[in-house]
This record gives sequence, structure tokens and C-alpha cells, in this order.
Amino acid sequence: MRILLLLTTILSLSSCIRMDRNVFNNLACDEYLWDNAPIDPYFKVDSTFDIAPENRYLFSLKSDNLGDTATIYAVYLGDTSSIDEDTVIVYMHGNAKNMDYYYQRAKMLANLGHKHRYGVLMMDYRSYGRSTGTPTEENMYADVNACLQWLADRGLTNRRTIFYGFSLGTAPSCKLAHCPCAPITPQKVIIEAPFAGTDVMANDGSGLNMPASFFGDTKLNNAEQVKSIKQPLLWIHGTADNYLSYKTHGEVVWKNYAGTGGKAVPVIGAGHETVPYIMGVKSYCDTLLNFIEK
Amino acid sequence: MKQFAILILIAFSLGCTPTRVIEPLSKGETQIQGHFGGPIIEFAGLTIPIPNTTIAVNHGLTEKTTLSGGLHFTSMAFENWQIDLGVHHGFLTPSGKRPGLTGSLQINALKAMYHPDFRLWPETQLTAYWKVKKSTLFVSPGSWWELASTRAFGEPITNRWLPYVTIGARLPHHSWNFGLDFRYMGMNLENSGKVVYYATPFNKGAAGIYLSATKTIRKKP
Repeated sequence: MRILLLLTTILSLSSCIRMDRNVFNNLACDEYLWDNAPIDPYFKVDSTFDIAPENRYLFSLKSDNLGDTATIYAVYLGDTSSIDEDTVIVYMHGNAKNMDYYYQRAKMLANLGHKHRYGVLMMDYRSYGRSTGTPTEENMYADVNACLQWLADRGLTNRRTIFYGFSLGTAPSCKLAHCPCAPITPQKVIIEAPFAGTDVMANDGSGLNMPASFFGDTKLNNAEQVKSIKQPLLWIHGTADNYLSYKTHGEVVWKNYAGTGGKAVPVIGAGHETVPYIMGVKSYCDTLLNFIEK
Repeated sequence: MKQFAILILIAFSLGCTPTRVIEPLSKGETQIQGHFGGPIIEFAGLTIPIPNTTIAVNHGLTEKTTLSGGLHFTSMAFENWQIDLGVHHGFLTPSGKRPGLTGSLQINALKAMYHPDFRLWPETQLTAYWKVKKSTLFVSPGSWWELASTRAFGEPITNRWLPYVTIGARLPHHSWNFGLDFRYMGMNLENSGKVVYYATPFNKGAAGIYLSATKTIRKKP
């Protein structure tokens, strides 16, 4: 009887926790504050990067992943009436908070070269900002795809599409850059501070060859996905990244890239979030512009 | 960007139990042990030990050799089977200021319940202990050993060991024996770029705190 009780306890304790839902470090909000969002001062770019109110269009759309639907909020910086002519940078943000946190970065992209030069679409994945639903790896891909479909419906073509992924956003950037599931295939891909995959996180965190499957099912497998990217790839990683190691994450991703026209930009002394500021805003913008226009 | 919270418990098999056997049991003696605690991490603004929980059984095979086996409940909660099996041999009994010495070899095995992934790590430990009144004080250096030659994405593994040092005490109270261990592990590994924020003053490795309770369920025949 005691053994039966023990076994019952053991079985009831098992299979009850997986960490997948905790991968996402989202921050919900009721409204977006854009330039008024409380963020680190060094994130602020100067007024030359300001976006005219008529060029900032916040909208929502439905995202469907095999029947799991959610409302996704996204912002388009630029003139929505000329998406069928403009080059558009699809910015997939990192794991922290929501679009407010990345708005300054999106502003830089919109103003590369000169004022309002590029259209920029940025979205909040499920549960980030005002977006509803449950965040998962597959849901994130569906959310980005829904935004790509929104652009495609307005006339955006592969040739005028650039993907830009930062940190967590490098997962949809790498996956959808080659996936037939994506409504648009980008002409070029930019990844900043990419991670190799959750297996590397587990290895690094434990100091042992421990797989991520011991914690969850999320793969976020950039080191594999990047092998299928044939387009030109701009890889940017801070050598002092204290969150995703330059060596175990960044270099592995770059090493696995087998396309043509790629360029690696190691940023000496930059941390996980500080690449534009360590490079200097002008140098950072010039680097992106040269890659996009090449 | 804050840490991926998914990995806060990554260390649950990184030194996830305190020192199992300080001194060998008598032949035929059996103990049951509960352990609680783990490496200290910074999470959600707090500095906390990872709450690993383990139940173990120790059995005196001979007067000098003890066998142990442990089942890790925290791992089970994350859909993994984790056990440890060990043999502990007393080389020296304490006498005056001279410590007793116990050598341990343990196998730590982890199997994901719903994935094919399986890992096995040997662990070696040498424990020096002193009897102070009714209590036992000890210091115990040891290491986990990595058997694989490659890690994720086929990258070579350059570090094959995960050393630690434990200091602790075992304090008897009625029919129980309570333990408090402090462990510093992975002191050869840089913490930067690792997603997990271990709380340590040296930016290397992780410090851990463990509590244990032991009850003898079968005395020497």
C-alpha cells in the first residue's frame, strides 16, 4: 500500500511543468507610447529620426496557427499607400517587453540614408503589447506570416523585402526567409545578436552537454535554419554580448550560413543590446544601408 | 533583454544534490534522505536557490562501503527521469584532528520522458570529515565529468569537467540528522553570455545552498 501511494505521488508530480511558455519575456500594455515610452536613455535617437504622425500607422490583424487565432498589433512606419512601390524592412523584435521598447530602432531603419526612405513593419508577437493569445514558437511564426500577408496584400514583392531580426526575432527571420509557408521571401536578411538555438543555451547554462528538451519543446533553431538561407545575409554580433555568447551562439550561426553575398560584422565591445550605440548610430546606419543597397 | 526564464532551472542537474554520504554506514544499515536546494540564481529581482528536491536511499553494503540511489523530483516535474547511483568507500576513519576520508563515485542519469534524449555523467568526490561533539563537519571537493566530445550543433567540447567544493555540517536531532551544505561549482567556467544569471561574486560558476534531512530506517542488524 505504501509503495502504491509513493508511486501515485511520483506519477502525479511528473509531467506537470514545461518551461516553453516562460521562454517569452513579454510585456502587455493597453496603449503604445512610442517616443514617450520609458526606456533606457541610450536607446533614444535624436530628432532627425522622428517619424511624422501620418507616417506611423498602428493596426491589428488576425493571426491563425492551425486554428489557434489571436489579434496581432503591428505598426507600419511609412506611407501605406505606396507599399506596392517601396522597399520595406520587416523588423522582428527581441524577447523583451513590446514594440515600444524597439521603436527607436525601427525609426533608425525607416530613416536609413534619408528621411522616410524605407517602409518598416514591426509587430508584437502574441501576448506582447496589445497582441492577444499565447506565445509559442509556432505561433510566433504564424504572427509574422500574418503581417507578411498584410504586406503582400498591399503589393509588396520579394524583391523589395528585407528581413531584420534582433535576438529572439532572428528566429522568424531565419525560418521564414526560406520557408515555403511565408507569403513573402525576402531579398536580403539582417540578423543582429542571433542565438544558435535553445540547445546551446542549455549547454552554456549547465556547463554540460545538456539538451534543451530537458526543459521544453521550444527549439528556436537558428543554427540549422540559417543553413537554408541562400539570400545575402548581414550578420551582426557584439563581441561582449553577455547574454548570448558571441562564440557559442553568434559564431555558430555565421559559420553555418552557406549562402552568397553574406557579410559578418563583429562589433568589438558591444553587448547584447548595444550594437547601434557602440558602433555609433551613423556607422550602424551606413553599414545597414550599404548592405541593403549593394 | 532579460533572461529566457525557460532556463532558470537549467542547473537542476548541475550539482543538484548535496554530498550524499559523508561517512560510510554500518553494514546492513539503511537511511532515507531528503534534499532541498540548489544553485543560487538571480530571477525576477530576487536572489534565490533553485528549489531542487531529491529523495535518496543509502545502504551499508559493508562496514566501509555504502551504496546510494536518488530520485530527483524536480526533474520529474519537468518531464525528465533523473536518478543517481553511487558507491562510497571509507578510506580513513577520523581520529583526533585527523579527518576521516570517504571517496565517492556516482552516476547521474537524465532521460527526457517524451524525447529520446538521454545523458549520463559520472561524478567523483572526496570527502574529508571531522567529528565535533555530536556533529559532523566536512569539506568535499568533487567534479562532474562530461563524456561527450561534441555539444549542440556538433561543436567540440573543450571543457570536460565541472568541479565543485562543498563545505557543510550534519547535525543530529533525535532520530533525525539534518544537513546544511554550501557548494561552489563550475568555478572554471565564465558566466558571461549564458542566459542564466548565477549569483556569484566572481562571475564564474555558481554557488549553491542545500538542506537535507536523513532518517535511519534500518539499523545495523
